[in-house]
Amino acid sequence: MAGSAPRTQPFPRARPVREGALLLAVALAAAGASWAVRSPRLPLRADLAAYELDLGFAVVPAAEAVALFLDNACIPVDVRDDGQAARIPGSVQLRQATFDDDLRDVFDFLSPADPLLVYGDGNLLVAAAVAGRLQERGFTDVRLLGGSIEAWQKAGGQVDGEAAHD
Amino acid sequence: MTEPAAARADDIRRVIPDWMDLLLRFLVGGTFVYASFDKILDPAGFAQSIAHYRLAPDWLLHPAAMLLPWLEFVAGAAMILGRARRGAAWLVILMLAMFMAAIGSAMARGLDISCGCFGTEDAHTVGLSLLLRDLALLAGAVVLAAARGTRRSF
Repeated sequence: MAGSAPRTQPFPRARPVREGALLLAVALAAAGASWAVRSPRLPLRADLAAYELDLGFAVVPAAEAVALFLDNACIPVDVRDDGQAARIPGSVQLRQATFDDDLRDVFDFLSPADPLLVYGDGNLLVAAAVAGRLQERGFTDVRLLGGSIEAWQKAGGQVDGEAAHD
Repeated sequence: MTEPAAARADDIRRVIPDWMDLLLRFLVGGTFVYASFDKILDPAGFAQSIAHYRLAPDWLLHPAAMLLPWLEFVAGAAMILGRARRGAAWLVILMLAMFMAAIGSAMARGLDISCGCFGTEDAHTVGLSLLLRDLALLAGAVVLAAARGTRRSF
């Protein structure tokens, strides 16, 4: 009886290092291939200076922005999606994904010379993208809030919505 | 008739139910595969996201921006398919440890940046909720590295 029945092949012992190295090699090959076929190619050595935030728009520190707001010298533009309750009072919502529809809703209330202060969740790239769209539409005075709504609140700025009483 | 099962059990140190094995593989692997898409398509944008952390030197930034998304994809796909699964689980653990260290360091330095986790326009700002999400994924990956179901793969 013993030894006569064919044994089911057991799972091979795991070889995590060898497996990991194999997967790494596959990823390296795929990354190398995708780098080679992409045009323009990313240079292998990055120029870090190019990554310093050159957004094409002035970034207003939160404290300065609060002062502008209190002087009625800016109209806040919120680029975040719904569901993030705290907003600067009187904000106009212009989201990147639905920019054209959002702008249509508020277009009558804005004029091209209005000073706009674009803010979001702190990601200045998203804010800058919306600012760029505004500029394309002829708005001439567009600036970005440095930091998120939390930075605004820390600088003493008022907010509407849930987090207003924090 | 029970011998094959016994043989398997001898060879695998820890066995988890098949449904749990499958669920964890899809949750952890699926998250990594999903997270890789945008970044694979836009390595320059992902490099910008990494640059915001101000951790990577110039010689590492672009290679990391090109390799990491593919590593996420390959490890995630291997995990879902059940191939090279312990290796995939360990790679995922290493990546999550690195992500958590980067997020923690950004938080410690007070950087107010988006994480870049799921793509270059990802709106999640680095913070505690992000660390907890990575911690949950890490727990899943550790289970997958240490145990398996009775089925080898699909």
